[in-house]
Amino acid sequence: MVIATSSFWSMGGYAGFIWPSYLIVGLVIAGLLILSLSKGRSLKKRLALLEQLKEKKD
Amino acid sequence: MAIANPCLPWLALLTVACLIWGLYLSLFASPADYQQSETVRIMYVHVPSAWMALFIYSVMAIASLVAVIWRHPLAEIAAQASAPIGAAFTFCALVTGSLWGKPMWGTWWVWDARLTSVLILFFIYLAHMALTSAFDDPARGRRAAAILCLVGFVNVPIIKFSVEWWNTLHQPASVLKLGGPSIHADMLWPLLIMALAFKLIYLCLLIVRMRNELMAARVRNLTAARARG
Repeated sequence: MVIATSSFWSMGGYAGFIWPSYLIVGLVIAGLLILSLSKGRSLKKRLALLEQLKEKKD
Repeated sequence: MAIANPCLPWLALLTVACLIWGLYLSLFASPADYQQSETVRIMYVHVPSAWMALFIYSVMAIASLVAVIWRHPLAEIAAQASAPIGAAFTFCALVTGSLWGKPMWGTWWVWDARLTSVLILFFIYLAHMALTSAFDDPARGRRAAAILCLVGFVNVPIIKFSVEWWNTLHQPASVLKLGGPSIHADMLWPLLIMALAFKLIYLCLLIVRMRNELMAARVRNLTAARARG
């Protein structure tokens, strides 16, 4: 399997440039996704609470 | 949004599948370059990121134009939701470009026309985000940001043609150019699949973030109604 070979991970001696590129892009996209989803969850909770309060008042 | 919400899980699934396929092609199935050897693999994340930086800004400019002319509220929200995604992809393009530049050009950074104009694009994205949230009234913030976005659009053709107008260290276009791509199919396919995956990532993030903005607006309205008693 090619993934197990050290030549794959060393990337012809450029591992220090190639892997950080993929890692940074992955981290930035994943970070933005996690932030957006967690903000959505907290907004959903807040909205449900406010709507509940509004119903009680009505 | 009523159509977008039920589509989101399927879109997310398609995005993951496309990303896995793209990564397989980029890291395993594509050959090393005869001049740049393995470093060419940075291209498969760098170029799609740079394309997204320009694509998202163009989407924002169209949305801002619609918002300014027809006062469509969803257009303003689309522009607001897009800005952090565009900033993230521009950041990725700058950092991966730097990581590619060091082994190939011998420098992390150079103040040439392409790199500088992309850095300016990154700052415009940040300014758009700051301006949107700078006003107590979110509608005014979004309107001011729409004007900034339209003025800043002048930078998009500058970025695209910077490699032709000026003598830059950055290479000229090899995919989107007259006469067809000058890149071999073994490298073009991974690039296009990764570009498609990045477009799908943008679409998923855009739906999630627009949904968030709509919920935030409803929270603001309910809170204001409660304060009024």
